[in-house]
Amino acid sequence: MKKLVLQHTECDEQLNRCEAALHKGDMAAAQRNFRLFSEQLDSHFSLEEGKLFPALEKATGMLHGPTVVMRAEHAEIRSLRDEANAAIEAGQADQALAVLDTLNVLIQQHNIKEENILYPMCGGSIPNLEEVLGMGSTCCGACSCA
Amino acid sequence: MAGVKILNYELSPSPATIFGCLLPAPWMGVLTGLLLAFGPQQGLPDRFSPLALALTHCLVLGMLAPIMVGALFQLMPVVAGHAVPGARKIAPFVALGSALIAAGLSLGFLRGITAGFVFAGMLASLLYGAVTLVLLTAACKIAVVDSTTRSLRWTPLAFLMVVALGISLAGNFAGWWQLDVLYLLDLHVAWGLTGWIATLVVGIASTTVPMFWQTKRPSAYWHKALPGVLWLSLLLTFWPALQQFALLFACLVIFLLASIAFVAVWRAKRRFDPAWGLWLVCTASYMCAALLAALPPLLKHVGGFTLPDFISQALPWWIAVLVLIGGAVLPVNAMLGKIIPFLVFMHLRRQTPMGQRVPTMQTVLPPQRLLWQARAVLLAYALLMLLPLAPAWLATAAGIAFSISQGYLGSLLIECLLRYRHELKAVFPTK
Repeated sequence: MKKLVLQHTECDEQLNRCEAALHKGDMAAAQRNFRLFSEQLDSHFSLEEGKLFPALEKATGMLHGPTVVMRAEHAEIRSLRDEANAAIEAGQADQALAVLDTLNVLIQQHNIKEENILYPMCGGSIPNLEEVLGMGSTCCGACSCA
Repeated sequence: MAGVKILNYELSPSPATIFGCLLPAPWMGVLTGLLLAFGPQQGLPDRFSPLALALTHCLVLGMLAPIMVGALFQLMPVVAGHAVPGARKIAPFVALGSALIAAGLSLGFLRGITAGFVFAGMLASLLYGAVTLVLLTAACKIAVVDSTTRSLRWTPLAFLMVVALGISLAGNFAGWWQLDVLYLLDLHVAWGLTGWIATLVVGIASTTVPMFWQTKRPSAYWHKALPGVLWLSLLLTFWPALQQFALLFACLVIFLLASIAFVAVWRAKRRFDPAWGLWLVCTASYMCAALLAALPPLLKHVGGFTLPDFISQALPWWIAVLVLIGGAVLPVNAMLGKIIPFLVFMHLRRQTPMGQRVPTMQTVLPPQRLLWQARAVLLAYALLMLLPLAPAWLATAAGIAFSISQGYLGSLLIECLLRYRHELKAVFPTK
């Protein structure tokens, strides 16, 4: 679970770099950092939606529980991410900062839910969790070392 | 496992329930400022002067109590997964009732009208009795996972304690009974400032400050210690012989917690946010308040040293301003500037088909305006701290500055609400 939390931190830091570049008016750096953020976000969501959530649903039998809420929030985050991307690509720094401000809050509150409730639930319910996530000795493919 | 509830905004009460508690509050701040500016200023800055007593209750009951009750109505379901039963029915009366209680007490303090205390005592019993009952009903079901959920579970008890002590004092002034006023007053102040206000601020901030301002998340020790470590000293206050020790212990704990919080806020990643400075000043205020409150008993123990008269007289005023304005109004202003646009965004997001854009938080409430509001409230805070130097004219200046800062906040929040209604109509033309 620590590795999933680390991915949250890495996404946060990448988003901060993008915001810092936008504040400086460095659109090229903003685009570069946002692209990296976007890739990390997609990898993390894919891991959760493709492996973690199905494993939790199978282990607990809860098909309409927390995973449904988390998937809906992923969709909201992706939607806002696309909006921010459009603003950055169009060179609209102020608009991009406004969207990133909301995106950041949305991501933070989502991470708090996952880290305080969902991950501990997964840790207690899913046998061989590391294996399920492909986070044994080899790289999972979603972290920054990939 | 099936009973586990995830944190979910779907569980949050209707916007009307929360906005009804939160939106009128800054306007009571405006009235409090006007009362300071144009009220009878004799005796200021003495803590027992009629105006100081009236101002304290206008601020705490009229402005802070509805916000904190509204926050509990929102956070108990969203953060702890348990809706407050009857919140929708009680919410419309919280702001108005609190304002009336504050008005009754102010009449009692300023004009010596006993009926004011009678009215305030009776209305507080009814309103806050109902509020406490529904909060306790939800609180007892909360599963504690961190300091926020633990604070949500226990603060209704602190609220009950403050209200019960307050009603006891009001009853005393109304002539219903004769009690040891000074003993009850110490308990009322201690439970009000530490048990209710500080506990709720630190409990909510432990989740929301890392979320909105991206500070480092509090450690596991922090989550385990709070709010128990704050309440330990409060329990000691019941024994008069231990009150000095309890005060020093509370000051030490508050200073340490505030120092940790200060460092965390100082290192926040979103320091460019307009309200970041309010949190920094808030944590510094608690540090200063703890130091100042510990000063008289400490000096007394160190060779009977006494403070100069001016400092001794101003000390209670400074401590009260540090805690009530620095430690409560500033974080409440910072939170309102974030929470209301966030709630507007979330409610619009949930009601708008996916793929259709909803206005961002900064579109709902532009950061430039929040920055000016933050500057205004900080100016008022500075003037309030300076008030003991020249009470006659600084009271007027501080009162007007405070009114302007809260009036501006109130108007910004109304703009948010109007924007919400406008956007909602665009999505659902018949609503």
